[in-house]
Amino acid sequence: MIIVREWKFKEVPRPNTRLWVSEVVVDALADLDGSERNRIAKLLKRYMERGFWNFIAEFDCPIKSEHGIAKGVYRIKYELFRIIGFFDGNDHTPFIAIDAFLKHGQDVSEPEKERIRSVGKVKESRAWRKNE
Amino acid sequence: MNKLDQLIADSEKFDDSGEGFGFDLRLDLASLIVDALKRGVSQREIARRAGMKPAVVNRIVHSEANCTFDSAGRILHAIGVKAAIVPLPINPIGRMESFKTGVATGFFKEMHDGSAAPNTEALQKVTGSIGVANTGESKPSFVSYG
Repeated sequence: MIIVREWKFKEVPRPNTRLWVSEVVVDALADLDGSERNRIAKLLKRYMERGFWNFIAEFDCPIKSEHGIAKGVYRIKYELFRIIGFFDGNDHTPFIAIDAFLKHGQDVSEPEKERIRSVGKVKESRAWRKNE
Repeated sequence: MNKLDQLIADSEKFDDSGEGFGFDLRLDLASLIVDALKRGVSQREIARRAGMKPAVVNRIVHSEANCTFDSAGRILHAIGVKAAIVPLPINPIGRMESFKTGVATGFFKEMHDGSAAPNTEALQKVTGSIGVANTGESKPSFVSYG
């Protein structure tokens, strides 16, 4: 069972998309250098403020469906960093971020695809729980 | 303090830094482009209209590229949006009226959350309030007139 905690920004008391993150995501972010980490945090804050669905559009947008690899799974991108998760429910909120990693190269490698598939399995089996 | 709380604390410090202000502008521009993408214009088409490489436009969409004002202008022109940089008070929205611009608080809120384009008169009052810009108590943001 993966435990997720809500990421709350004081400046965004009522986000259009609430974000919940696993320990793996937090650890992956914490391993980045400060500037990179803070930019990704700011990016997430903006997406939460406006609603994640506002950043899902055509082929290659900031939040992209990974439907080709795992149904209902999305990735958030900044440079080579990827946050993988899914929406809990049909109304596109909240977003549950399960995994995160630094990509090696431009193409998604087979091990990276496997991690995306694993997130899909977590979604399917509801193998996660909110730590409220 | 656990790791997530530390991430949040660090990001709040970053928000109030010059680098954070700059990244806000990247996010503003990226948001405007994504809005255009959602209206059905492709990144490739935006790149063609702007005379830029699609890969560069893609990096701007992802807030990864530190583009010049000229590049930003070309992209904005390509998506049919005119934008300006205006000072936004960084105080919580409820206190914005204290900036003595004579403009209703709702104006700032609309600018802050992007829910409406401000009217010209209100914008002139705000941009004319040099005191706000000079105190360092403001941060820049694109305001679009799409």
